[in-house]
Amino acid sequence: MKPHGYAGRILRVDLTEGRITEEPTIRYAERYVGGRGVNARILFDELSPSVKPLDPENMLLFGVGPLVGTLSPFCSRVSIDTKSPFTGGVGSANCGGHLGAEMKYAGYDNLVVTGRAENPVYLWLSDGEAELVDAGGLWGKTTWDTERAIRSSRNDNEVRVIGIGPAGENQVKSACIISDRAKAAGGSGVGAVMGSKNLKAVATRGILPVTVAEPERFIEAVDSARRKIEQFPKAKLYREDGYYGVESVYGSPAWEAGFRPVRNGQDDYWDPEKIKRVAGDTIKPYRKKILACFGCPVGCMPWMVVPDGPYKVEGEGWWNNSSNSFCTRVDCDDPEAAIKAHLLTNQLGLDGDNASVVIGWAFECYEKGLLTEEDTDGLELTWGNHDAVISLLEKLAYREGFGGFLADGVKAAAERLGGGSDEFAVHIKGQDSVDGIRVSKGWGFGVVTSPAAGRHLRGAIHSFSPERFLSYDSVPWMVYMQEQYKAILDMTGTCLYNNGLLSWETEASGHAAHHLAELTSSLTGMNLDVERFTRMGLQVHNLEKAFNTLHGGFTRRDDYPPKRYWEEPVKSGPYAGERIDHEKWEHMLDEYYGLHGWDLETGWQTRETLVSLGLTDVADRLEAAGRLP
Amino acid sequence: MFSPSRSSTRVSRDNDTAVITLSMDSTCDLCEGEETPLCVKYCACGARKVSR
Ligand code: SF4
Repeated sequence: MKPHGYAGRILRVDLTEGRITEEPTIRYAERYVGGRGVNARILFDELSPSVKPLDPENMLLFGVGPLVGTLSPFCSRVSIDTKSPFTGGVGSANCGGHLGAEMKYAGYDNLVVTGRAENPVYLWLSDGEAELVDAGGLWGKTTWDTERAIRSSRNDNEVRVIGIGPAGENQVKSACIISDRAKAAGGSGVGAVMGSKNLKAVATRGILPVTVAEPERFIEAVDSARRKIEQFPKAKLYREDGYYGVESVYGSPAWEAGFRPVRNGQDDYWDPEKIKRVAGDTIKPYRKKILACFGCPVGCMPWMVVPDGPYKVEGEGWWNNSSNSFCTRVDCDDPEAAIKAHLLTNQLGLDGDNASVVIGWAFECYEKGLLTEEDTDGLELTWGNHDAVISLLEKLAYREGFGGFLADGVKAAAERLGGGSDEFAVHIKGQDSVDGIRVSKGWGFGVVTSPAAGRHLRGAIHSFSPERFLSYDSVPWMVYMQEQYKAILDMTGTCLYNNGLLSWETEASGHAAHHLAELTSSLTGMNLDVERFTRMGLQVHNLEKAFNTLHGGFTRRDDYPPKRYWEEPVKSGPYAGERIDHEKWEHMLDEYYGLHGWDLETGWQTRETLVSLGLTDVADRLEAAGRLP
Repeated sequence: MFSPSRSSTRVSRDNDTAVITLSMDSTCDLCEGEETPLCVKYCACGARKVSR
């Protein structure tokens, strides 16, 4: 009998052999719940450190948690995990939409994809059946056209598609995987790994049931969580303004407090006149609708329309980071060009966060005379040249001309170019990192120490009051707690904003954890309280950390900020002069490692800690590799 | 149990236009016996209404 709350099966697909097998989800679910938790365990257990990220033997895992496809609020997320082509460590990305619920109704909780198909294929999942389908006719298409073509060939407009665009096909490191044409599982080069496997897409449709262990208790838990969300004033702002309404939610610190580095991070403060040209009120008229993921009581997805002119475009998307990637980072203040750039990345299957870092770096190289028009295929990479940004996105996705030079990320490009360009190549553990980290210390510390390398969706602290974000106090503890809450969100398949709306500040995230524990317990019949649940989150975090030590060889040194942010202060604005204090950073690392029970000198996990988490086998593997202190 | 096969209603979205369509089939009895149809009560976005 399949367990309550689960589709019940993990699908394994060997693309080289064309072999499809199944195993019961319950084998992993009792300890790792689902989604990212199950993915992390399988990845750690089964992938040899000798396998390179773009080798056929690398694994690409898709996972939904038990709450996905139920009435639980925000239950839409799909976790995608692999070995990252940027870092050689864990690659982890996550997206919402409707794919997750459909995958579950099609009969699968997790997909484990290995090998490389001889010719392009897509994976079709429907009502407990899985099949590899020739995708020769889809290769080369954008993510939007791929969805259109699959829906049309299946004669069904409700088929859900997640897949890659040209960027993934060309194994560009900033390639992401796009679901429902707009939801990007971005970062970690997951799209490049999918492309290396000749896997164009996963398409799903299903009507299989998900059963509930204790229906009345579950409904009560749903009602309780929804009441809490309704009471939260910011929920209304999200609903009314969409994600770019974060300006109403966060207020001006979102612009001023260094969350959006300017001109490749030369500064963290942007001219207020330019802000006005791309901020919420200017963008608002382009938003024609707000859309929502499966089961979301809020909805934060704007449908954007640029009705005419050179940037004419229509589609879903424009997030908080769009004004970082396509505005501040390249000093562009044309809202229509920025919307065009965002929607183009969705079509090409590029992660805007990653892609804009290497583009911003190229602009700075041009400014410094390290690159000329001869190198850039005639493009004038002057700050504010939004047409050049749009051209470079295309070139990057197709590895065309100068785009090919940038396609392996900023670290590789700087190594090739030399001339001191590595001084301003902003990457963390090898991954291009878009986040500003000099002003908000909790945000920065979470971004830098993230096992997914330079991404904000792990321990980064969401605090937007200056007295909080400038302070180093309590940062290690808050990051440590936030990592655990984020893990259980990903293990259950819940959107991060659930965490935010149920509690918002990290200290109070325990409330969100309480709701998730009650929802998951009543759904699955597992007996989870906050303590047990967050400990499971800690196990998953430690599995990823161990993967990084084993595969990426990371040490304490890799938990330092990128050179530019380590050395240079903010140049202007209310936080001019603000910089990372080296001594305080070292103290934060000591405290953070201490909380985790990791070794202060190497940053590695200790046997004692791993054994206390029930991960003795992980300690054994690290010891055999000489990576225990 | 959550099961699309048991549902009498469908919500679909055209990804080219963002137009959302709600359809009902003949098996819908507005959850006879319930004060409010359950799909209205639990519509995540609060978008569903009954007009009698
Ligand atoms: S808050 Fe936004 S991203 Fe999260 S589930 Fe809702 S619509 Fe999706």
